[in-house]
Amino acid sequence: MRKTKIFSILLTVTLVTSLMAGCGSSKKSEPVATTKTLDKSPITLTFYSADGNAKSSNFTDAVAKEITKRTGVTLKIQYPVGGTSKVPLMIAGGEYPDLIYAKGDESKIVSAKGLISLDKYLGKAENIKKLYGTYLPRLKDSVDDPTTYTVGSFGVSPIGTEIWTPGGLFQIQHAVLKDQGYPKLQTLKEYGDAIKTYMQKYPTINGQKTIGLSLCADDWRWLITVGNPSGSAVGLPGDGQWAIDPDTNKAQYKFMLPEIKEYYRWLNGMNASGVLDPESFTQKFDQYKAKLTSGRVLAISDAGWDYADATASLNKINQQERTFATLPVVLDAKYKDASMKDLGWGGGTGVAITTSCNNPDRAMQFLDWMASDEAQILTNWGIEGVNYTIVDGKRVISAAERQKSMNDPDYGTDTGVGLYTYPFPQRGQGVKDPTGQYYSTATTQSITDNYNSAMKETLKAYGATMEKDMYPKTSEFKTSPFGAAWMTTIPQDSDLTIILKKADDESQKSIPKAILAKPADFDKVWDEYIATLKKIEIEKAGTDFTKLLADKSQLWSK
Amino acid sequence: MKKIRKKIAVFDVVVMVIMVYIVIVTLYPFINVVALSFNDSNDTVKGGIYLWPRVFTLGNYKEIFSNPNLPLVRAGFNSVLRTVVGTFFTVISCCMLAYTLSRRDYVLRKFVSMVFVVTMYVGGGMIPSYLLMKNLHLLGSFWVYILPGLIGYFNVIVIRSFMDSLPPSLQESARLDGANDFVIFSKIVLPLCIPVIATVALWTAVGQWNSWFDTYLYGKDLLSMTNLQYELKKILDSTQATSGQTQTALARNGSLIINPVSSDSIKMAITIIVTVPILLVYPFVQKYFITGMTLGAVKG
Repeated sequence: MRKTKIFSILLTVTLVTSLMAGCGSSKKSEPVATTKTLDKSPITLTFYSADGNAKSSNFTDAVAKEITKRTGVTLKIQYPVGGTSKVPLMIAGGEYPDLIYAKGDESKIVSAKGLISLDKYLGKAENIKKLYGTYLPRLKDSVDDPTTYTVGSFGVSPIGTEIWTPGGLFQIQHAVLKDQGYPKLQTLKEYGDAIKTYMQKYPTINGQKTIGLSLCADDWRWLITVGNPSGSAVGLPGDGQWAIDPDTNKAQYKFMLPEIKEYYRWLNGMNASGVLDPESFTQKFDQYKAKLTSGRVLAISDAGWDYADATASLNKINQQERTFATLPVVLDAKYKDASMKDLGWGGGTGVAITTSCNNPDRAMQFLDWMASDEAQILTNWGIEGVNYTIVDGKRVISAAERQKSMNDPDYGTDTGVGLYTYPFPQRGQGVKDPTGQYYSTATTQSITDNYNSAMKETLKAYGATMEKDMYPKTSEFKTSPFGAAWMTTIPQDSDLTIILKKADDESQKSIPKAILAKPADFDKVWDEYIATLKKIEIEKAGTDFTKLLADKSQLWSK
Repeated sequence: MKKIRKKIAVFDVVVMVIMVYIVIVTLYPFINVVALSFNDSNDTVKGGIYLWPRVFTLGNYKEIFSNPNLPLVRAGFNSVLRTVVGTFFTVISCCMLAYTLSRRDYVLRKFVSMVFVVTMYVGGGMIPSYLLMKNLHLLGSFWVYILPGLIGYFNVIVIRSFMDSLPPSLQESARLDGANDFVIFSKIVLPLCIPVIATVALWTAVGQWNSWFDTYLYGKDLLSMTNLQYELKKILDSTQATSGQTQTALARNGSLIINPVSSDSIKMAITIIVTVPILLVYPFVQKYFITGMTLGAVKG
């Protein structure tokens, strides 16, 4: 009896004292360096990434190990397989991974209340605040629910950061330009004529028939090769399927515009004169790439990242003149190619912490760390001494390493460089860190160094040092108060979603029909197309979307 | 006499031609996959490889076997395990059910058969099935590969039809000799059903070997639960599946590498690795398979 009594007194005293110990510690002031208070105990966080795949989501490479060393966090990355998203299952079962990047399914999880609000953390999240700067309000969800659930993806560049890559869509082979003495090709007519002249002069290339202009309309690629170039040719910026008046901010489905119709009339003409590849609307992406690699396609209207493989292959087999130069071709001189317009950071989806996370504080600490300068340098540049060295206080990537990163398709998987930037908070291209160096590995020098011999020749002939010099400058355009229009989240169950889907399906069907029709029939086919669009209430879609954009601008200005 | 001979000859020729055509159409893609798997991956991009590798290399296979992120041994082990265990339990269960339903003196025979037929056409869908597995605590367990698929009613029908064609006198005489139901089932009926059992076993085995979707849906600790087809699917999936608009945004904002892509040659190589085991097993069960398919031809 006595023993138990003494024991229980001792126990109580111990318990009470340990409780007291917990009380007095928060007198510490805000730390100077983040590493001082960083909890580095090992923890594994599960992370579902809608864009992950078997090659990029193993977390076993050198950069991943370094991340674990500096934060204690090991990520177990899951991703969709077989095209099926696991998000509906998560919502049904009520169990989520700790972190999630749900992209298109994000609104579903928000409605199912699966994400925790990050508002209470944002005050102390120094790195996140610094990275997003004035864009911080853009992390909010919507006007009805201005909570911040995610820390958004895609590089964040403050307004005024120079844009280095125009991302233009009209490409033509260097060989064609050289052969004609580097003419000034401004309008579609001049562009088309240049292609036709070369085609007639050289009916075969590398033993195969020359193709003038080839498109790849396989699946979603029609948006890039058939849909977007029309907007680009009439001076519309990269807003996807929308034409937005920069003064009134009113939105319209861009295919309704009469000038867009003229672009497709031009394509129709290209088809009638035999310049357009007859297989454009039936070929698969692999066939298209093979054609480009064979060097016989003179022109394409495509985005550089789409055919990067073909460019790399052509470089390897030393046929640089068969790669492409990008030109700001427009319908006629009164339009300005808007590829260099600064659309600002678009907000949109990002990484969120779910309600199933047992340690949200730690998860938030990790996300905040990913936004820190040291993390940005680690994920972009790699490990010092391995992927880059410090020379005179500046980060330098050796030529050999750069070559490897450009030409070795497994570079990312093996080293981890560039794998963990997206979808986490990321500094954009051209943004400088406190030491005056760029966060991302791209510099004007690296971009020009990576031009192949044909590109350098072409640029010199036009008096430019970089591709962007050939394009109307960023300063000539107004910035957008709502980011890139296509990044606007459209509520799942709205009329707009349904109308837009029907409209896009109709466009994907009718536009090729119009292009392949006989020139005399073009107007008829096009008018039928527009009539169908009007029937599915495309004008209402325009008004609805305008309202969404206005809401977004309002939400972000708070 | 001469006329009949000619007719048969023409018919034979036509059948031959059709068969040869079918053989080419089914065999060619496979040969193409083999050729691509032995071709150097950088060369494959150029296209134009049909029956023979242009630049022969064993590098693709080497890369797959040495890839630290591809748990081939574990996946192979799991695939074999679930095929063997799954087939075994499925066959036993289906046979037992078929025997019960083949007995004409079973009171609920018609009713039960009808209920089962309904299950062939009506299913819960992805989310209800997921919730069911969750509530049965099968998520993340190896048995999720075996238990849900135990009874495929189509298999039961096939076995039952076969059993129905066995002469009832066999069972009657066994009963007269004092055998109980279980003895009749195991010692008399089952041995006679070997052809149809082999058929069902083959179907089940192929189904188990090829399934990856249940791994994806119900697997928790995927490292220990993975199987070969799932690994293959993951690799086949790493194409530029990210939508064009994401790519545009990334290119604009300077991402160097996003979604590295598996080369076609690697995909073909792992396809071959996953297909070869089944190819090896098939010749041994082939004779049973053909016999089993000609069910009606067995005369009591």
